[in-house]
Amino acid sequence: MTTLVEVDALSRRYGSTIALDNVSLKAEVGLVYGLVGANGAGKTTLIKHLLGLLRPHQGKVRVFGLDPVRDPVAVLRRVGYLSEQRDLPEWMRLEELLRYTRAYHPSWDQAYADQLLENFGLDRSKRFSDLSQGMRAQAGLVVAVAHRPDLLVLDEPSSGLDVVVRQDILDAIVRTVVEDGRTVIFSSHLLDEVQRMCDHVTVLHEGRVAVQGPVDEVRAMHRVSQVRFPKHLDSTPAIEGALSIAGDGRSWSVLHTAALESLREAVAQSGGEIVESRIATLEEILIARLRRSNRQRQAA
Amino acid sequence: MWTPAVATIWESWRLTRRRLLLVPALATLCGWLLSRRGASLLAFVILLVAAIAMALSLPSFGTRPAFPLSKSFARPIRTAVLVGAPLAYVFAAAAASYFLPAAFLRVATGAPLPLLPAATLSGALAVLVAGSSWVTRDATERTGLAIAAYILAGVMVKFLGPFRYVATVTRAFSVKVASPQLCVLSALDYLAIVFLIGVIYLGIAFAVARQRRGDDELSSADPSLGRSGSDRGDIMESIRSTCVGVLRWRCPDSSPMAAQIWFEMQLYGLPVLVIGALLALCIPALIQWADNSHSAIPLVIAACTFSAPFLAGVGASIWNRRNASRDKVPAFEAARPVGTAELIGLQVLVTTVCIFAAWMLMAVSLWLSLPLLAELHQYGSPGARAAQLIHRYGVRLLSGVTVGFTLLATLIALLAAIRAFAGSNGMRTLVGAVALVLYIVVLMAAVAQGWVDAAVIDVHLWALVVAIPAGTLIMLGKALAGGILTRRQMATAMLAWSLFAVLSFDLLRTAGMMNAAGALAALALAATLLPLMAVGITPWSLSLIRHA
Repeated sequence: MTTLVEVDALSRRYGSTIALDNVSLKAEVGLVYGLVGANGAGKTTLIKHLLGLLRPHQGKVRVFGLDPVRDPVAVLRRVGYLSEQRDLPEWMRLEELLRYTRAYHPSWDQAYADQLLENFGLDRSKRFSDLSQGMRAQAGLVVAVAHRPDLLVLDEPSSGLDVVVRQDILDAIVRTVVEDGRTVIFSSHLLDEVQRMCDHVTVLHEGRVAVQGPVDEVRAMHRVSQVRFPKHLDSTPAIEGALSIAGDGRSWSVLHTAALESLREAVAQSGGEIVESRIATLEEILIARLRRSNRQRQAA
Repeated sequence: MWTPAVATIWESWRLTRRRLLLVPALATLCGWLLSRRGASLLAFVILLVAAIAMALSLPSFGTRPAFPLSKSFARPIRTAVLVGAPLAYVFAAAAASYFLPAAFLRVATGAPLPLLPAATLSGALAVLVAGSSWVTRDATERTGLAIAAYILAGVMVKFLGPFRYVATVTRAFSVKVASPQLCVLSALDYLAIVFLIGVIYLGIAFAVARQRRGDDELSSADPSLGRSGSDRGDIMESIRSTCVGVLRWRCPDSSPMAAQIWFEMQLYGLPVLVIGALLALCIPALIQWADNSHSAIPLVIAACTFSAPFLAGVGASIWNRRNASRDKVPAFEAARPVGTAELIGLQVLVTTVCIFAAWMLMAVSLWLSLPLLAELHQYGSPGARAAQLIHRYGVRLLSGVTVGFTLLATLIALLAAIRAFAGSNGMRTLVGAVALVLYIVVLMAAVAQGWVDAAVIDVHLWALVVAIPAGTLIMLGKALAGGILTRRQMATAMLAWSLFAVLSFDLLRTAGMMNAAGALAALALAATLLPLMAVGITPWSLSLIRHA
């Protein structure tokens, strides 16, 4: 597979705050990549590096094999971008924005733009100042995808979109882009969305990559097992291989990375037994990892 | 005791502390240097100017338009306190920004500087400015109120007569030594100021109560509320949104450059042209007024109007585009697939063309209006005079216009570069600029007072003669090495500069500059490199904020 995006040991500071710390990422053609993390985890900072809007303090960023800071025109011409801020010019009408953007992209597909506008029900004669937050997001999405970019970068595309638009249209757009053999990188707070749409996920926490890999593999690496003890426990049991343990009394829910057999042995040593086990969701994995990280920080 | 009033004052302090510490500190340093040399009157003027600058800038708090602490609307605090506490802070801070440096200089150098009256006036001015800017969110109303406030400030100074003990300004400057008698207010004057502040406070409290209730909210459809153009809001925003609404044409999609020119013209060029056209219409009326009143004031106003297109053009354009995000350049613009040099070149070109065109309109209007002055009737008709001038100067006139246009473009480009540096190194640039201005002021004062030899000026001029070519080479090298400037763009710039240089040499020779003193002639020659320096430094500095 061809590598479209290559981020190698990227670090970035804002004053004394570490925004990105030794982050690496590779994006191949025809896949959907999700960036997940809490507020301030570094998702938008990473995306801005991909677009050349930020200069790496350390490390390397290559998009289409080019440095986006040194060669912004060649990179940005092949990228569709929807910013988190949706900072579109308020005075422009939608029709004007479409024409303005079309001038920059010879590959503009007017029929596709028209179809999306119809799907969203957007009035092209309206100014952006007259549009709601959701409509702005929709308009921004049309402008980002209508030139059929090789790489679509969406920063929190779901914010402002209602659940119907999100599930019906955003999913359809992303699917279309990928079916065309193009690549999508998007950041989101909505983990069910990432789980549903992404082939690959990168979980960022405090500027570092906490978990990274194909969604199915990441999920398969983590299991949630229900553990039952014969006696009531007053405190959280210590179980080797557990990322997080929640519950009380006799029933505890354990999220773990260890193989099920290893956990079964560890639980048995504590006097308990596994009564049920399933693959964890991305949300459970993220929450467990964030809590663990916070606990470690507090302990330190 | 931590009360809402104290918390509000603390918040006001947090928002203004940097400038409040920096400006008086620099003014004190400057005043101290001057007072030690006996020029305490000059020290007084510098302290007063710094205090006025503080009084004008403090009330904005560097936040949003209208009442700056509007985020406190949701807090459990009475409107009377919410307005009163920051207003008291603004008064005290502006007064202290004069009082403390002046008191320090009185103690340290013995300079007999006036204290309380000048400090009170400074505080009162700050309250007046706060009154004009806090009461409404409407940009146009705010501008009108600001003008009214300045007029009122003038009336206040005239009515109170704080400088009545100084016969004339000329005499005051010839005295060299300041005196507490220089600025005096009577008890009645103080009462009048207290009354004025009370009235302003009531007015602001009433207006802020309306803002708090949402009665003063502008419609969400109002473009001046738009994020890109916006939240700070000013008269330019009103003009811009009106222009864009009324004079709109189809965006060309034939090429990126055509689309970008449309963008620049619609948003930034058109308002400048409209301002130029409106002022061109006003100029004949001003000339007629001058003729009727036999006063020079209308002529001075007419001359001052020429600064409006420049301020409007430079103030609004060149990546000074405001946006809601904290990005130095809005992502919408920074993520355009177009090179930084092309983008900034186009922005400078559109701004320059529009300012130049506005000036041309105004100049033609002035030229055609001159016969309205009885004193100029003897000069004949404007058409005949123009033909005479063209016949006499011909090509030189054209080369003068070309050189003037290039110099204007250079100035705009260099201002854009300074703004970009300020964007990437805000505090350092500000401190550097203030230090440079102070250095120049002190140097000029030192030469004027005879403390240093005039040859020092020559040394500075020679330093500039060396610095300009060196800076040009370094900046072009950086832009080329960073890939910001392509070889082709560089070659085009060199070609255009060659033409400019030839025309400039010719004009300098004609003006007799080549026969001037060595340093001055060398500086004039070196200055012809400035357009080339702008070609390097402007895209390079803007790439610093585009790729922060």
